[in-house]
Amino acid sequence: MNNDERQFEDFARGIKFDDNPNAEHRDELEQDLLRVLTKQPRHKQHPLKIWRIIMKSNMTKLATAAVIIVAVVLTVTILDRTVTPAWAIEDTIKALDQFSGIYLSGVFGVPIEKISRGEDLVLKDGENMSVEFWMQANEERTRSENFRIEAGDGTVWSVCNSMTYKYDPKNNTVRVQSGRSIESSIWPCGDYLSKVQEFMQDWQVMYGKDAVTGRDCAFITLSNPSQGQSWWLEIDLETNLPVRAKGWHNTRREGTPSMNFQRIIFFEKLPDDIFEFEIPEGATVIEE
Amino acid sequence: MVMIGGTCKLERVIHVDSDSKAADDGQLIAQARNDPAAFVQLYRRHYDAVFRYCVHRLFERQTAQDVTSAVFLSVVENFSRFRGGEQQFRNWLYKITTNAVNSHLRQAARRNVLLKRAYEQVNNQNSTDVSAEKLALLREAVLTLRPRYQTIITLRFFENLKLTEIAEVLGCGAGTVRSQLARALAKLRKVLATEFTEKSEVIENEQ
Repeated sequence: MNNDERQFEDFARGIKFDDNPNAEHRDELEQDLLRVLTKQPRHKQHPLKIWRIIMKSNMTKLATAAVIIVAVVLTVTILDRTVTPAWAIEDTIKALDQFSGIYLSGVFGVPIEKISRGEDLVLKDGENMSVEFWMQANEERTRSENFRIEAGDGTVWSVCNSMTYKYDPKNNTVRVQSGRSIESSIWPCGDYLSKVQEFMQDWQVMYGKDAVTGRDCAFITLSNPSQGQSWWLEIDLETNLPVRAKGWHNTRREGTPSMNFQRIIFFEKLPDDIFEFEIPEGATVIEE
Repeated sequence: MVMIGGTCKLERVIHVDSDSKAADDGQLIAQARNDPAAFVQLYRRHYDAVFRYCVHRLFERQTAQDVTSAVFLSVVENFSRFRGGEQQFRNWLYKITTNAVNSHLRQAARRNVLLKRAYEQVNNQNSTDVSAEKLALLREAVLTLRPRYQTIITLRFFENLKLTEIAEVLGCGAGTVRSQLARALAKLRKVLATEFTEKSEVIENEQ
């Protein structure tokens, strides 16, 4: 410690800071955090007069890509049955049949040439965006029914009870549309698995432990040359469900993944209030 | 009130929630990814340290509470991207808190308000409380520094982080931190010239 440091320390020694934490604030913040973590019920909105607009968007494509990645994982587990008997596909399918809700969170860095520009979400080349999805399957489990996506730039799209809400944080506007203008058009149920087996080529399986939880996992790499895509997937060997996944827009898994899901969680059923949309204070509502 | 002081090193007081002692942070961090209850436990374990760091940077309890709230909401939002163990988590928290505090301070209006209050406290100082006077002087002096220098001073002298730990928080090398610490102290020396001189004289006389 040099002279300046010693002098400053001498000066600061004995200074009284009123820095005792406020228990009330700590408890209030804890409740706020719990609400965020568990997505407590939001305020109900007044019904709005709307009309239907069908649109295709990047968000829709991203959502479909997210579900495809999950579906591919499950297909891999089928193919791997003969290689690793401990990997019980029956258990996987059985487990999967108990779930009709999925939560995914991750980062998208979508090359601009791969996904056309949409009017609502534009990712510039090399730009990353954190994205969270909540999806609830329809009764037939053939597609998503309720849907919510929150992007890192504050964009929120939500489909609830056949109403679509799109919040644009830049303009502080909410567009309200009738019907489901966002959905995942597939669902990773057992029936779907056989249809996507053809996606996979050049797959390899390695075993190890999850870097965060230390749980036993299978790490799978595979590619789909016809689409120019490749994936890295992590499956929890205890639950037989995918927990992480990455995707590239090349067949060699080179460079930064264009999709990097670090959390994939299955739910028996997601609470309905997750999909309810609360119009932010001061936002302009545009009925379409 | 908490006295920050000590014979050799400024003392950092950290309250650890008793319920949180059972599991170590590494295990908690893993559990917290999927379990809100585990996340809350992690939050309880680190709330006090984050709040105190905010107070030591901002010198205002209410503002410190606001920034602490923003920090933990940001932690929730970004937790899925965090990788690492206990030490990394602590440094990550300091990094987020530093960014939040600096962001707050960079808004000139707020900074000016803080400075104005600091000057008022110094000029209206009728108290014989030496500590309060010193605190006001410290606040006045530190808030004139660039946010990065403020960060280094606070982390070094009030949070007792090592240079290598500060380097990790700031995302630079320990050598850079050392040189910036020297520059920050040189600036403080100018502002606190009288205090430093008096101290030096006392030390010399004692010797």
